[in-house]
Order: sequence, then C-alpha cells, then structure tokens
Amino acid sequence: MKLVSCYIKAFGKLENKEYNFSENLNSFCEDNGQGKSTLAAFIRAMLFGLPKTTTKSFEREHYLPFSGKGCGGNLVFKKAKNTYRIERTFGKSPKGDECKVYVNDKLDTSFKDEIGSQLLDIDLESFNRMLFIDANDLEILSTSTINSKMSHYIEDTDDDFDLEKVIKKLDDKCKDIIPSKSKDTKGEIASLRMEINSLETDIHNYQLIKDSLDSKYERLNDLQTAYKEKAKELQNASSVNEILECFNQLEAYVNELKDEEDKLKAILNKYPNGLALKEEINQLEDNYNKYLDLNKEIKSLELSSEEENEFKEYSKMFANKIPSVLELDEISSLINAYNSNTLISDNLSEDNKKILSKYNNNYPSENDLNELENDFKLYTELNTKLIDQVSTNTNVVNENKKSNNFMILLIISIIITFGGIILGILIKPILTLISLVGLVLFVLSIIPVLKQGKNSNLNYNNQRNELKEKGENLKNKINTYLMPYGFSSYKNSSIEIAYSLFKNELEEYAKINKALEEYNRIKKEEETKKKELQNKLNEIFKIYNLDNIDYSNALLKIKLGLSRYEVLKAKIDKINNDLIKYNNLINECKSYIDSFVSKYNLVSYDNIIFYIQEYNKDLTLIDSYSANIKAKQKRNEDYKLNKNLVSKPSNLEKVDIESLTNKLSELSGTIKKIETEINADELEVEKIDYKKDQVIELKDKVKELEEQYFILNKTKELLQEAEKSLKDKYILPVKEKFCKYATSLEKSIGEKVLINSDYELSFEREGIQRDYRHLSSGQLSLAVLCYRLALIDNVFESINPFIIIDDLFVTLDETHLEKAKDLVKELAKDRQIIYFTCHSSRDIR
Amino acid sequence: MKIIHCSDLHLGSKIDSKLKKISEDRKSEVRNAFSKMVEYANDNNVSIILLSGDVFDSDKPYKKDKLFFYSIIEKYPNIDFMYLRGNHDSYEFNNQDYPNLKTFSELWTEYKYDNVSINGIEISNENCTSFYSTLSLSEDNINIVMLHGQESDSTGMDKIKLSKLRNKNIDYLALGHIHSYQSNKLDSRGIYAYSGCLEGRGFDETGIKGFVLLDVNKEIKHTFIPFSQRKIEELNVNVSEAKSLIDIINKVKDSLKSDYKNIYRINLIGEIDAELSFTENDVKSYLNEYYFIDVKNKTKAKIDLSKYEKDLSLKGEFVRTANACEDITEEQKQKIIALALRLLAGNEVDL
Repeated sequence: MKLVSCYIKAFGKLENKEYNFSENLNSFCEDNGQGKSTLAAFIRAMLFGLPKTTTKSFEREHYLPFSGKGCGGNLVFKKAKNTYRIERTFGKSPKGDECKVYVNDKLDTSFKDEIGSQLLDIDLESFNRMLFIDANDLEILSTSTINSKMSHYIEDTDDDFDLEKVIKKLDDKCKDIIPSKSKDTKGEIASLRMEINSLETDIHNYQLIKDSLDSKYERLNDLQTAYKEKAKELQNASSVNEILECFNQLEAYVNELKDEEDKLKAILNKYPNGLALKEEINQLEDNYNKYLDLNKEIKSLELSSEEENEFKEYSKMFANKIPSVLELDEISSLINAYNSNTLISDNLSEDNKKILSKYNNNYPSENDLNELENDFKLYTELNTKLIDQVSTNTNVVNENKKSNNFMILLIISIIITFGGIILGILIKPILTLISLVGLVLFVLSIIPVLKQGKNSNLNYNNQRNELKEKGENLKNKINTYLMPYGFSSYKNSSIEIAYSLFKNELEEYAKINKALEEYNRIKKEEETKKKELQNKLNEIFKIYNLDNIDYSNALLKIKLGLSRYEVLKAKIDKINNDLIKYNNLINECKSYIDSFVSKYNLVSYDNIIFYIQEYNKDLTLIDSYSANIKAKQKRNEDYKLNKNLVSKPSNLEKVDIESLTNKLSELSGTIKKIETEINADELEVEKIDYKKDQVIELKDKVKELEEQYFILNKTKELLQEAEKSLKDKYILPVKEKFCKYATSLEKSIGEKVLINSDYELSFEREGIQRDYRHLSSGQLSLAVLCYRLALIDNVFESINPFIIIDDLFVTLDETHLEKAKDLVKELAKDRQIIYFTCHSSRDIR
Repeated sequence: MKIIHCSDLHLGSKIDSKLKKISEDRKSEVRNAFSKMVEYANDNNVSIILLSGDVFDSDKPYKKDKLFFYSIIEKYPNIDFMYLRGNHDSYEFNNQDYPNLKTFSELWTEYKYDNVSINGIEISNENCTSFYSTLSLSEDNINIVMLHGQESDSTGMDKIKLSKLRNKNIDYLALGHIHSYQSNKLDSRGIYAYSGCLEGRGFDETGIKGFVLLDVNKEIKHTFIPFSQRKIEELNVNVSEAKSLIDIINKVKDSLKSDYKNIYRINLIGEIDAELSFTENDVKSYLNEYYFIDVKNKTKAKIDLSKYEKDLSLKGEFVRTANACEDITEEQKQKIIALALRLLAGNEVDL
C-alpha cells in the first residue's frame, strides 16, 4: 500500500497544499511549526477520521481551522492494483463530517468512516503503534524497559497491564479455592466440605433425636393417659373418703348438740321456783334501783349548815318588815337625793379671783373716781381743740397757694408790658398796645399779692403750744391715778385706752361681788335640806337593824338578803313537799319487791342485786345455748340432707389418698420430665431444616467455587493460550525479522543486537553478551526501529504499507546518524517511507 | 354471620434459609399472624374460622406449636374453629376435647348453623376419586365446602378437579394448599377460593398474604383481607445503563422506593460493562435501611466482540481465543472474558 498524493484544503495550519509521494523515500525537511506533524496527522485523519472532542481528546478541535470552514482534503493511494481516493471534510463534531471513497475514480459506498481499518486490517490504535513512528515513542522505549514492552508484544499500548501479575492473581485465587491437589484439607472448597461433613453429622444426630421423639411423644401420651386414669381413681377414692368423712362429721355435730342441751339444763336447775320472766326481772331491777335512789334522795333533802345560818341571819333582818319593791325603790330615791345634795361651789375663775383680790382692799373712793372722770373729760376737750387748730392752719396754706398764682400772673403781666414796649420800639409802634394789656394784668394781679402779705402764722403756733402743755399735764395726772391698778398711757399705748380698761375692770368687779352674794344664800338652803334627808334615812335603816352605815351599801345588803332569804325559804318549802312524795314512792317499790321475794323465795333484799346479775348472766347463756341448739339442729338436718346421709354404709372403708396423690405427683413429675426432654429435643430437631439448608447452601457454594475454580483456570489457560498464539503469530516471526534487520544494522548501531527466546534484548561486545541497558539511546532507537520493521513485516505480509517516521534520529550522534540515514535509504528501496525532520543534518535525500 | 377462611398456617415450619438472618423474627411473625387473625375475628364478631388444611407443617407437630394452637382455641370459646387436615398435618391428632373445635375425617362431615351448612372431607388415597360423588348438598341451604388440595384437571391424592364439583349447590368452596390468594367462579351458583397463607416464609411465597372474610346472609360476599406484617417481593432490576456501583444502587433504590419494612430479593439483570467490578455484598451494603434485602447478580457482561476483532494486543488475542473456545458454555465464556478484561484493566479477582 503506497501513498500517491494528498491535497489539503484546510487542516490545522496547512491550507491549500498538495503533496505528491514517491513510492520509496519521501523526506520532508522543514523547520518546526511548518506542518510536518500536521501532514502526518492529516494522512491519519484521512484514513481513520477525527475522534469526537472529549475531555481527553482535543485532536478535532486542534486541527479544525479557526474559520471552521472547508476543513479536509483528499488522499490518493494505491493498494494492489487499485487506486483509492478518500475525500473528507470535517465539521465541529463527527456528525458534521463527510467522507467519500473513490476506487479507480468510482465512488464506493461500501466503506465506513474508518477506511484505514478496512484497507489495512488494523485499527487506529494499531496503526499508531506500528506505522507511525516518532521520536517520542523511542524516548519512552529508551527510558522504560524495552523488555517489558516487548512482553506486551505490541509497543506503546495504553493498557499498562502485566500478564504475569494477572496470572499470579488467578493462581492465588485458585490456590485459595484449592491449594494443591495433594493437600485436600486446605482451601475454601476443602473447608466447605469439612463443614458439610460436620453438618451432615449434626443432621444425622438430630435425626436420631427426631426418631426418638416419636417414642417420647408416645410415652408422653401414655403417661398423660395414665395420669388421667390415676386422677380419676383419686377422685373416686376422694369421694369414698368424703362420704365417710361426712358421717364422721355428722356424728360430731350430734355430740356438739347434746353438749349444748346439757349446759342449758344445768342452768335451769339453778331456779327451782321457776325462771322469772325477763320483764319481771327488769321490773324488779327498776323497783329496787328506784327504792335505793329514793332513799338517797330523801337523805339529800336537807339544808346545809351554811344555808341554815344564812336563813337565820336574813330572818332576823326581815323580822320587822319585809320590804316591797316599791319601798326599796323609794329608799333608793332618798339615798340618791341625799347623795346628790352637795354644796355648790362659788364658780369663780382665776381672773375673777384676781380682780377680787385687786379691789377688795384698794377700791377707789367715790371722789377719786369723780375727779378722775373730770380730768379725763378735760383732757379729751383739749385734744379736740388741738385738732381744730390744725384744720384752721390748713386753710391759711391754701390761701398762700392762691396768692402764688397771682404772683405768676404779675410776672407775666410785667413781661407782656415790657415785651409790648420793646416790640413797639423795634417793630411797630402799634405793638405797644400789647404793653397796655400787660399793664391791665399787672394791676389785676398786684392787689391779691399785696393782700396776702398782710396775714401771719405767728398767733397760731403760740396757741397750739399752750394747749399742748395743758393736755400733757392732765395726762400725767391721769397716769398717776391709774398706775396703782396696772394701767397707764405707757403700758396701754394711749391714755384713752388705759382709762377705758380701768373703767371696764371696775364694772367687772361690781358684777363678781353681786354673784358671790347669791352663792352664799343658796349654800345655806342646801345644808338644811340634807340634814332632813339624813334623819329620814337613819330611821328607815333602823327597821332592818342597820345603823351608821353607808346608805348605798345598806340598801344593797337589804336587796341581796331579801333575794337569798326568798330562795332559802322556797327550798325549805320544797323539801317538805318532796319528803311526803318520796315516802309514798318508796312504799310502792317495797310492795313490788316484797311480792317478788316471796314468789321466787329470795332470802332478803341484800342478794337482790346478785340475783339479778346471776339471772342476767344465765339468761344470756340460756339464750345462747338455745340459739346454738336450734342452729345446730338445723345444721345437722341440712348436712344430712345435703350430703344425702341416710344411714352409714357398713361396707365402706377409708382409702389411702396420700399414696394415690403421691403416685399422681410422681406421674406429673415424669410427664414434666418427658415434656422438658421433648422441648429440648424439639429445639434440637428444629435445627435439622436449617442444617439441611446450610448443607444445600454449602454444596451450592462448593459448586460455585468449583465453577469459579474452573473459570479461573480456564481464564488463565486462555490467557496463556492467547499469549502463545500472539507469540506464534507475531513474536517468533518478529524475532526472525528483527535478527535480519539487526544484522543489517549492525554497522549502523555499532553493536550486534540480539533478541532471545524470551524476547529480551541484549548486545554482544567483545564476545560478551550484555544487557540492552548498556546501549545508548541512539542505539536503542535504531534497535526499536528494527523491532517495528520486523513487526510490520509480520503483520502486513502482503500489504507492505507505507511508514511514517517523524524525526526518529534526534538522539543519534553524527556517525550513527549517517549510518541510520543509509539504513533508511536502504529500507526505502522496497517500501514507501514518509520521513519528516526539522533539521537539514537529519534530512535524507 | 361472619366467617373467616384461612389455610396453610404451617405452624412449626422452617423459614427460607435465605432469610436466615431474620428467621427468628419471621418465625414469631408467622406464628403471631394466626393469633392476630383470631383477635381480629373476635373483635369483628366473626363466629366461625375455616382452617382449610396444613395448620401444622408436620404430621407430628412440635409440642409447643400444638400448645400454641390449641390454647388459642381454648381462649376463644365464642368462635368455632373448623379444622380440616391437609397433606402436611394429615395425621395430627389431639386427645383433648374442645367444644368449639370441629374436625373432619375421610368421610363428608357437616356442621350446620341455621341454614348455613359447612361440609368438609379430608382427601386420602381411598377417597380421592370418590369424594366428588358422595357430596350431597341441599339446594335450600347456603353451602360452604372445605377441601385441601391442588386444583387439577385430574383426580387423585391431593388433587381437586373443580369440574367435578360444579352444580353441586356449592356456594363457597374454601380451599387450602396453594399459598397465594386466588378466587374464581365455580359454576353459576358458587365460587371457589384459595385463601393463601397468612405470612410468606420465603422467596417462593411472595406477594400480599391474608385471609378471606365471608359475610353470609342470604348469599355469601367474600373479601380478601391483606393481613401479613411484611410482604416478600422478588424484583428484577435492569442495570444495563449503569456505569458505576452508585448507578446500580440508585436503580435498585428507585425500584424499591421507600417501603422499608418488606423483604426483598433483587435480581440485577441486564448487560453491564465487562470492566465494571462489584459484588452482591457491595450493593447490599448500600441498602442497610431496608429490613431485609437479598441481592442476586444476574447481569451479563457487555462485551463488544467486534471491538477486539482487529485488536492486535493480548487483550484482542485473548478475546478472540476465548470466543473461539468450544469446550465452555456461552455463560462461562462471558464470565471468562469479563474476568480477564477486568484483570487486564488492573482489577482484582471478583468472582
């Protein structure tokens, strides 16, 4: 298969480019970035298309021109006798791609997208791994273990698996299941089988238990039946015993009844004259008690000695007279009157008393009072005159104010007069007439002014001083008179007030004297009245033998005495009445008791109480015995009726219940034991099903493990078979071809590179075989080229496809490079090589 | 008159070993279902309970199961228990007498309640073909017939040929043996019904369980009463689209919703990426909030063989070799390829 030409309409940085390829060596030497790799990618894209853009693959995005238009072109190549032309355009996604294949210029629609795969019979990955060789690949190979890669048979795989590890994992797992054939006690299957054996033993044992259960169920059933029978026997025996027991019981009941009857008889024997009726005894007891009570009552009907003394005392008090309520009220009124008639007091206040003491010994004489009155009158008149004088003087002042007005008018008239003259002189003569008006006014005002000048204040002042002096003298005289009584113009702010107070006090003194006289008169009258009352009261209290005492207390004594006297008197009367009544009643009681004593032959009154007590005790016993006898008679009858006791059978004998009960209890114990055993067995037996399930489960598990074991072994076997097949198909021929190329490269590499049966690379130097790791990277790259060529020769036996070498010899030194170039040239003689380099030194032309 | 029809209590039976973890709980739930149903009957004035066979799981029931059953009968003297033995408890015999316990034999036995006639026969080898002809019912009565056996087209032991019971004046045929409720017309007059069991005991007894309540008046009205405490369900969950374990969990949760108290078996089905590695326990560990879940991985590995046709690597060679292998089944082939692909992708052995 050889490339003929290609036209790149647009692809990456290449646009409108056409390339023609020779059938042998095609060397493209261009600087980096000129599109060598793009051309290589274009050829690959034409054959296999562009993958969809994903997070891992950006190839499509990388090669689509930015314009996004017209990406694509065509590729022409020959295979066998046919010429193929692939025309492709690429969109943003594979959906937008178009692809046409022309075979010998005829459109062939049988091709799909991966045309390369159909024509070369390899997928894109294999194409990349074999026909596309670049320096990066060699770089990887040169740094990683080539042997390891060789073992994967195909270089540059994405899968980083290690078959040995895989085989080991399978082996390990197989060993887990079955470790080795000789040791059949280890491993999962063996362990499961042991477990199954153990379970089957358990099942066998449980089965034995289960089989034994049947007999236990039967035994339990038998025991339960025996228990029922024995229980029935016990029931019968119990009923026989019960009948016998009933007759015994009845006998006991009859004896009990007899005992009661005997007791009753014994009591009745104590009463030979018969047993009194309960009512009779009650009456006897009542009468006897009453008799005793009445005697006690009579004894209690007497006055105490205190009461007797008291009664004597009051009898003496009221021997003369027993006062009526009215009389007591009257005495009370007299006492009140006597007590209320106390002498009235003078009722004088402290002020009055002071006034009395002030004037009693120092009362002014009539003459003094008259003289004082005249002086005060005179003084008052002088004061009036003084006041009048002041009023007159006020009028004079008013007159002076009028004359001042005339004086102003006089000055104005002078000014007008002189003004008129000046105006007449200075302005017009006629204006002198104004001075005439001034003159008139002058005349009119001068007269009052002159009149006023004649009066004087001198007389007024003299008179006034004289009056004042007189008044002062009088005032002093009045003060001298009043001062001994505590009044004066100095003390009382004015002589008028002092005089007035003095006069008032004299009037008050006169009033007090008058009241004092009235008081003395009334006092005398009251004293007389009280004496009369006293005499009267003394006479009254003498009747009740009460002398010289407080009247109120005496009255109280009379009242209390009267009350008590009446109570004691009533009591004495009642005692006398009761004595008569009680004696009658005592006679009645005695009559009944006497008749009872004679009826029942009692000895005396003394044992009546004892008799009653005994009777009551016996009566209770008699009642009780009688009731018991009645109840027991009924009980006996009922019992006979209920138990159907006619006559005691002579053939019945008591059965030993205890032994029967023991046997029953023994059976119950055995039943419980069997039941416990059954319960325990059932618990065990219940496990059978689970054990069986477990066995089935484990057997399934064994089968599963056997199947797994088979799968694991078969997987391992098939992997090894695939490996061998791969070796047979590719590696052995590859080894042969490699040796062929390695021999031809011996000069270029400078060493003899070998590959052994385990596909390990080595080289021979100085007769010694050495590890490939001693080769330089350049030498190694050539060795890998040999390997690739060997691989291609084997994979593509008939196709002989083109090889794209992208600057493979970057790491070769100059000597080796030249030899490598020679090799490529040599190789290109019978195959098409598309060689790209970025440096002229590595150009091969 | 109200009557309850139930059957197949299977007292003393084991719980499915797959429910081992909850078997003790489940055992008591199965046992309690009966006592709760009788309580229900007591509370709702039900006067008769028809027990159409297999009350016990065994001919020789455990003592404790007998004690449990008969103590309930003794406790409710107001309810009559019609106990017809089935194929599991055909030899059960009780030596105790309970007035309200009515039993049957290999001959037709009739119990009458006014015009309601309850008839039953226990099928045996001797009567299994003849009991049809010996059944005679009055047209005027309301006739209830009790039987235990599998509905069948033929006659025989444990078989009931319904066609032979048609036009026999049966109003209600109370059947036992099948553990799920089903009911249908018997003839123009009557119907037949399997009440099913009261509680499921394993994944072979899925669905709603309960009893049939009969309201007998002039005619019989029957209603199925769901009564089980939990439902056992088996669900197929297609996880074909799952890309990861979480996708699988989400798919499972979507199908379960939030019915946490039930018992589930989840069958994961569909085709998933061969390299998607997970175990059944991985899935279970994310579903702890559910009462019980069993997970079965029944998925197939999705392997696109065409993808490896031209793969020159070991992977391609292996897939081609395995695919061509003739001494293994297709299922094994699938497992082998999926396992190898997962191992080659760096996963551990996860069978």
